[in-house]
Amino acid sequence: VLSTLGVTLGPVAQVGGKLTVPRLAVELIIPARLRLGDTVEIVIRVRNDGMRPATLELPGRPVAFDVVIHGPDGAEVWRRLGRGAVAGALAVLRLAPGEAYDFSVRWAGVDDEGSPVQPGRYTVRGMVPINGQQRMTDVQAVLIEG
Amino acid sequence: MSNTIVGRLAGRWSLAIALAGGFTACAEPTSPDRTPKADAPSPDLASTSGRAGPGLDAEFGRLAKQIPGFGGMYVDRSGKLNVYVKPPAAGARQAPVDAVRQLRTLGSPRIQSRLGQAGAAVTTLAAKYDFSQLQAFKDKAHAAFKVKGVVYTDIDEASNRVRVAIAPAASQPAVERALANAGVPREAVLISRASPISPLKTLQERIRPVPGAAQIEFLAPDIDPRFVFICTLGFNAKIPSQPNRNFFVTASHCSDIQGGNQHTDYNQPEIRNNPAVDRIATEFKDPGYGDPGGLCFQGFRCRLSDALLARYNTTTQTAQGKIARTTFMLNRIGSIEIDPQHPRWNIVTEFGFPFLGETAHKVGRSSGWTAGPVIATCVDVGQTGSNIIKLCQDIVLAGVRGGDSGAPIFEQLGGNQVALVGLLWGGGTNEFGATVFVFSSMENIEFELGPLTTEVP
Repeated sequence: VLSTLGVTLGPVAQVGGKLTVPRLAVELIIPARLRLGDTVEIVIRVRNDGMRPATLELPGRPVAFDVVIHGPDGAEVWRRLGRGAVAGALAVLRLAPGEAYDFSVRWAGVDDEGSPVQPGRYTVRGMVPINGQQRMTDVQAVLIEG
Repeated sequence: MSNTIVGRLAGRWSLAIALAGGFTACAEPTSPDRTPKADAPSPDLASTSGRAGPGLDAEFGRLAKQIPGFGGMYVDRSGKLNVYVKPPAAGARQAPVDAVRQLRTLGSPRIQSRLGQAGAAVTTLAAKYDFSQLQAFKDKAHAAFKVKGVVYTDIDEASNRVRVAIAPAASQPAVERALANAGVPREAVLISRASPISPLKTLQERIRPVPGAAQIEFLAPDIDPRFVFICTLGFNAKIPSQPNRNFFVTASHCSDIQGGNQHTDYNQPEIRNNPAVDRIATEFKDPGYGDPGGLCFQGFRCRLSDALLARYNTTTQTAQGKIARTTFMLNRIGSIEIDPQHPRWNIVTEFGFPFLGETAHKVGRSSGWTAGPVIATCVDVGQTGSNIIKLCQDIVLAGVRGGDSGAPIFEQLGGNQVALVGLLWGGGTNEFGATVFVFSSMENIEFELGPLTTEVP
């Protein structure tokens, strides 16, 4: 019933300018090797690397972080926000210095249509909208073995 | 409204959308007054010393020192540039036209540019005071701030006078005495009435009685106790079974758990240390997600609306039928500052659902007042990150941001009167990348929550 058009998440600016830009580390955690058919937990870890507490405003309920996986040919294979609308609540998270929060999603090794992917080298990137900016992780390579 | 379902469901279709946004700002123009005449004698200026100060006053003060008699300049309502020049004393060589010529060389680039635009069409007016005198008067006129109700002091370039604006209730004689004691000649001052200037209140601040479109905050301890969640209060309501209590409607996902009643506490504008101050209501009715009317799809949970009913505390003042009205509307992002002249919309009726092409408005705590055309009706829309599908929703080509969930959707009827059409719950982009928001119609909301009275009494 639902279309599988890709979903992108735009900025959510703080109107009124109360928020500052915190020093955050945004890291993608995923095993470097997977076996075909495995279900893997993909984590985006956001850590406050600053000296002060950080206030993060995160749109969506659940929070609209995204994970995008590209296949060996560079084509997009799967993304978390693959369909539907983002529920428009705003989540506020406070992180003490050094404190982290993990956004996680499980990927069953399938494409957006639900079909199993083929063995090969895939790339994964995470994105979290924080205080009006889309914060991206580095791209991680994942080898899926048959 | 009645709670009969929902004929539109037969023709529903599906669409995928995604969130996007932008930011805009605006400024308000001002107009100068007309020029008065003044024939009072010049005061003794031996003891005056105008300060340079910032901005335009500093520039005019500098020029007054270089160009004898320069009294300021302004653009009148017809767009004509006027330059005040104090006539030279008898026997002096410099004529007023020389002052204008000197402005073309001595003025800042901004002034030279403005003179260039005017070309030869610059009108020279006879000044009573040069700008240095006016600066000195204004410095002394600050003494008037000792009088309660003085709003501002200004060098009024259009009148070649110092203007002291006072609140309607302020005592003009007291202001005149303060000015006289400070040594400011009465004939150099215009006293006018003005409203006190105070910062505009926004949707994100404490608003009582509570109207629709106000910010609300809540916790979700059953989902993740580390988060605080922010949404928008949709609209106030009365229900037949509890006629003496007040309720409001907001989005179903603006609660501890989306679907089902966890008695979520709501705060306006935010959760503070003293809950008695801002805790306004408790979740009252939030139907579960399932298979309403056998219309849902295998593997999904459905509802016809993303709406819940919350019951106000008995001590909270509410504004039945009112929605906070902000200062301006734009398509992508509008104002969140409440309009001091027209602070509320009045709900005078409901429309069960919108028609394609109608203009729908929303006021949300994040993107403010936005509006646009209804581009899809009775659409089945999935909610990202969940197995929830909302049936027969409506989509508007207009801006939305995180925190707008629960915002009231309405159509304008003229003046401050509006027809309530629904409740915003999500957003995204259409196939062309333009921002859209998704809302549940009143017909669907009242089918699930029961009949509501939402209009002004």
